[in-house]
Amino acid sequence: MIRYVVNRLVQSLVLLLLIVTAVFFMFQVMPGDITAVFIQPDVPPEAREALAARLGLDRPVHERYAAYVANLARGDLGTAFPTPSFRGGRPVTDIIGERLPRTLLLFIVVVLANYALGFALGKRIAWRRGRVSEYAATVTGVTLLNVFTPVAALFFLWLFALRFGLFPFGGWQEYERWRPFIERGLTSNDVFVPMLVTGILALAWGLFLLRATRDIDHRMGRRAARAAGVVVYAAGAAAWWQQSGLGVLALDVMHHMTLPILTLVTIGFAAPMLVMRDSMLETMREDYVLTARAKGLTEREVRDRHAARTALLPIATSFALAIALVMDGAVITETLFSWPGMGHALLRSVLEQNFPVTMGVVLVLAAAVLTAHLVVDLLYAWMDPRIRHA
Amino acid sequence: MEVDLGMSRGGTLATVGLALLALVGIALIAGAPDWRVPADADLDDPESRRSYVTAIFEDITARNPWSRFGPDTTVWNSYVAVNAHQTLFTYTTQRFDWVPQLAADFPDALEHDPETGLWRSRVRLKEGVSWSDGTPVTAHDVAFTFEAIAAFGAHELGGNFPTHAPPDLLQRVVAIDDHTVEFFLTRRDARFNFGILLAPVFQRGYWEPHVAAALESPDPLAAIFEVDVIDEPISGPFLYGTWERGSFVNRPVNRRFSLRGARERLYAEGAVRLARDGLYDWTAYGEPASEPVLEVTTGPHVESVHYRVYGTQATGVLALQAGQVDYLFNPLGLERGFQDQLRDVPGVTLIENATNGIRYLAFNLRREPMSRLAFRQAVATLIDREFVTDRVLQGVAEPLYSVVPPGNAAWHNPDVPVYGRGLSRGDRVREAVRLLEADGFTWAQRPVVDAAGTLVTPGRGLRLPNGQPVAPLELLGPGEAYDPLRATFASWTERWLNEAGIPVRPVLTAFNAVSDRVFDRQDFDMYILGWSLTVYPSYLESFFSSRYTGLRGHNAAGYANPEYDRLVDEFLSEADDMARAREAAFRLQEFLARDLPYVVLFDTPIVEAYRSDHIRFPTTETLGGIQNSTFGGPVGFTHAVQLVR
Repeated sequence: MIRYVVNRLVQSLVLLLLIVTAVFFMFQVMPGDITAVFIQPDVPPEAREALAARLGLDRPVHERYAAYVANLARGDLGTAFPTPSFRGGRPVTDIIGERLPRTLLLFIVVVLANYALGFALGKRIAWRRGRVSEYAATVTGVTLLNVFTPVAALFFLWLFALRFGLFPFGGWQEYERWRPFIERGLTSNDVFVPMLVTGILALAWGLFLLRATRDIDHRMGRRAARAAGVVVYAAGAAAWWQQSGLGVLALDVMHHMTLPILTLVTIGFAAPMLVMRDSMLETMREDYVLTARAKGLTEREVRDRHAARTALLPIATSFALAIALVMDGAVITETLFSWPGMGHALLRSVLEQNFPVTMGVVLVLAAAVLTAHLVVDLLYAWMDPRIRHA
Repeated sequence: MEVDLGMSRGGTLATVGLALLALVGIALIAGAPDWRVPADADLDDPESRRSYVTAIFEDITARNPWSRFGPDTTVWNSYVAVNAHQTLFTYTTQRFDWVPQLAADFPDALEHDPETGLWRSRVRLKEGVSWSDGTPVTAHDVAFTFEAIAAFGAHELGGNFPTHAPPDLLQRVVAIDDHTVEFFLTRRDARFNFGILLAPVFQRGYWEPHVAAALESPDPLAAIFEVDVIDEPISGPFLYGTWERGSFVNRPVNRRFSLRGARERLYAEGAVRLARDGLYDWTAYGEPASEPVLEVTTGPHVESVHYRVYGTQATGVLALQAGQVDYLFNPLGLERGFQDQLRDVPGVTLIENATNGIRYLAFNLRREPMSRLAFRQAVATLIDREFVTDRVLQGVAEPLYSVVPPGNAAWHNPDVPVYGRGLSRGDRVREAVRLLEADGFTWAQRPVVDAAGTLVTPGRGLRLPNGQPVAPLELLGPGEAYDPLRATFASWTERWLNEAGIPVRPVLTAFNAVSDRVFDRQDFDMYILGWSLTVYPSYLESFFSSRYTGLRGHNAAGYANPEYDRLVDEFLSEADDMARAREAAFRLQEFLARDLPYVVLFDTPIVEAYRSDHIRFPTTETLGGIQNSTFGGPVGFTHAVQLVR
């Protein structure tokens, strides 16, 4: 197993280097460079040349590549070029550090909601195959899945923000609410990071609680233990947010997140739902499901305890990759809901030929995807010994 | 006795876990950061009730003025930090008369000093003007600003600095006393008035130690760009305030702003009167003989300016519709669809203004046949600007004929020769054929236009006067996605030129690909691009003087006319006599309209929207719109906007 893990790690590192190299040279073959922003009536060519020299753009490509890889090995992603969306000289790690928590918070919630809803609906409609509810859910899901994201986003903004005034038009903060805090030096990440930690701990605690209480024989005892766990966690988290004084800001962020989440889940839940449905349909034909029924178990027990658990495997793979791709954000959503995160950074840096920022974001994204692949492979290897021997 | 609680190993695990979590939770809660707002804090912010809220569509990237006027001189940085640093001179509202701001009066006429060989001029500053920390703005601040720029290097700083302190022109700046500063120049040059004297002035007391430290560091530019300017004293109407990256910028009023209450009066006959009770009363450009046609009272009339970042114009438009923002700040203006969306919204007003820009077709004068005047004239004759702007683009764009657009009324020559203007399609072809034949061009198949003006036989196989066939020519331009208007012009130009037998193929591609081939490699036949222009048309030199025909120079067309060069130098040297400068500018435009390094095509008016039930601007008729980006000018009217809600 260790040898298998080491092999996969080496493969991932080689792949990462290949990705970095490919993206680096793709930028080099693009015509022009960012100094073109200095083609202005009153800016003399000398100023443009001075900028090119300062950014190292006058050096040969192979020198720049060697310098980039050497810096990368030291963990230095370089500094941004001066373009409309990024201040020249700002460390790329700083830009990523600022945007990653925003992206993670919004899109992890979206992925979790999508998969939770998709899983729950998928197993149910598969179980009711051929009935009106299956057709209705499938047709609705497929229809929503094909709605163009900007159309859905603008419709939701128009309906819930403009017509009903229930949600803001984007962003993550109401200036008035945040003003006293910001004037004392608070930044958004002072709220985003604890929110992420609270969420991740809640998830971990929830899984732990499920696992730990699984063997409690008494149904009531099991439920009581779980409820106690939830209450204790919720009380602790509430106390932390109360003590820090940031609870009101976290609620404000959640209020701002609601509309993008609603939009993305509305048009996105169908994908995991359909995967789950297909997987369930295959599983339902298995002998052990028949056996479970023959044992006299209730339909719900057969569905949830026997069929759905096995059917979960393909959806778990796609979930792991979806979580990794969360790093990428979603350009359209981030743009329409004024939530500038990693996707926005990637889009703007590519359009503005801000090569160091693009490289940094691509690197983080590639590392996340490769790690997710590795985790999935290891998970499968652990679950199925034939894989590591193959 | 053993009590069975039904608790197995998992239950024990849960109990232990709960206990552990409780301990960790207590530790976390005890160590929680304390951001609680004190109970006696005033949460009722008066600023919010008297705030002018503007939607912007990209966050700012810098507030540090060295960075913001230097390499990070983005349109958004300029908008948001507008007028934080006052300048010696500025432009009036709407008319763009060049008038004093920190200066008390016009500069002394440039005098030649035979000993040093330099030209010098003194500028006196207003007394009683202060920084936001209460200290006076002095001549020492002005001299320090230019010394610091020179120490870093204007070209190395980049951005606007080469304009404000051109090393080939500005030798030194000396503070004679607290309120008099003297400039030493290598020659008479209007860049003194419209570049140097429009430079921002930084406070010496704040910046001197930062500049000294930066100059001693291994990377002086990086060091000066990194300075956090949150406490920098400024001289403009609004402080830096708070900036939450990606979300908003809030700039509260500068309560020590010295020019608050100043009145700017413009008179029909051209006179300008600037007055501030107890501080100054200044009149120029004639004597006022009637009631002013425009009067602007400098504020701020609001408690803060709040810039909210929206990811797209679509969201910003919805926010404007809902009354959550007062004005949309977008350099491209409102698209047609959004105009329609807002047209009937109560409380929202749409305004349309001319812009100070051109979109043009340029020739590579280094290559045949573009080097031949008759060829360029024929191309200009064949392009029917009015047909494209009026019929094809349905009035979205306006045809232009001179490199100085009519919106810049003071410098625009309305009487330049225009080839083909008013001719029918058939007559345009006949005239182009006449021009080409007169120069010796021939065709394998000469285009034929019948008596009714219909082209019955398109031309084919155009030959140069030496008998060589004209090789297929490329017309470079930005693609449909970047600018559909230019792409449309390129398509029609291709069609018309090919009908006349001029073999042209449009190559519509990314902007950077065009600029790379045009400016960096000069590998092109013809191209269509655009320029955003300055009020003072110094670009008549930088675009068309033979000094700038080298690689990366702005004169990519390669226009080299000694007579033009001489005249443009004369124009630039008219630093004192604006009437003569204007006359020279008119003649320069005639040169260009005749020699045709460019065929000026069109530009689009800018359409903007604002909540007229919330705010009132001093005027809505102004070149470039409310957001006109003329440096030193009244950008965005933040200093004069009034609340009406």
